[in-house]
Amino acid sequence: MNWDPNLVAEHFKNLWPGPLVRQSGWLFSFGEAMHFIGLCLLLGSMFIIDLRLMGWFKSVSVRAALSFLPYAIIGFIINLASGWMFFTSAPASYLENNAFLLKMLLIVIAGVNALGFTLWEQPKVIAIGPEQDTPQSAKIFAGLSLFLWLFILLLGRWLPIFTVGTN
Amino acid sequence: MFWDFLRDFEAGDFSSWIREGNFIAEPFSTFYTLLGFHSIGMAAVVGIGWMLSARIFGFHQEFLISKTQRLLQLAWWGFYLNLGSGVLLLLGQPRRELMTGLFWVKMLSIVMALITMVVVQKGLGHLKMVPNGNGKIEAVPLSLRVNAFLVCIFWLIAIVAGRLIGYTQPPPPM
Repeated sequence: MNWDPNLVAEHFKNLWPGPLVRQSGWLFSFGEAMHFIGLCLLLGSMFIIDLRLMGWFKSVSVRAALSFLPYAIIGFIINLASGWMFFTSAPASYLENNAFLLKMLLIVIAGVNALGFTLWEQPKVIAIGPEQDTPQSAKIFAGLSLFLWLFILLLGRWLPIFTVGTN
Repeated sequence: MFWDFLRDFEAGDFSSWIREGNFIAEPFSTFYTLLGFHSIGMAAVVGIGWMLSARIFGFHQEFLISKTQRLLQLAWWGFYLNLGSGVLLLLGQPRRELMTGLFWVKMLSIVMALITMVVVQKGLGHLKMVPNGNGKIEAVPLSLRVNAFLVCIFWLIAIVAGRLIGYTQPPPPM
């Protein structure tokens, strides 16, 4: 079965809230503001969590640092919702954009990394108290997480450079 | 006279490179690369500022804010990155930026955010530990909570104004 990318883009273009965003004069810019708020929440908490797991800010326990995780989740949800708004407003332009495709791939990898940390590493490090170091494996998970999210942010800002065309 | 100076500056190599050139190699334009660094700085200073404000409001009490000087340093480094990238972005098209109302709103809110951040930082150095059930917690005065709230609001205004600048900018002046 052959997939026509134009049909795929056309399908997404008709999904909510794509038509609404295209008709509105302010929804897209509202979404952009929300996307920035989301990324500040996400990265603000990631800085605290990942840097503690990497061995910085040892004056606080790992549990205390991980308590900021809900903000990362809220920030991600805000970004997911606003990102969906952008995508459905002009899906063809995003599907043709290599920076966008790479950004989505890195988000998936970051998610897998977070899942791996939660399942295998978090039970080991949750009891680590102030002034105690974290194991090397935790540092690797955290370092990869921070690197991925910062690169994801950069790719988001580079989207206009890699825009091929619009539908 | 100042406007003529800016016009001549914009026509020069440096400003043109920021506006239209490439950062190291194609296709990574200088302008969008600077925007990328600007966003990283924003995520650091605003994100960490919001997290610390959440702590000051009373959440995450296990997180001792009196021991977060290095975290605040990271937030300040985020601001320095913003300052540097922001100045370069401004030098790319100074007349257009200075003619945009929201640019001034953003600058004012950044100044207010920085002032309140300094006030909060000084307040964090004077927290007292008070008994609370099984142990002790940091007593956060109301004034510090108010300032932390203002930090959140001023950075929020700066983010929104900054994002909307592109929609309200006049066309490039002749």
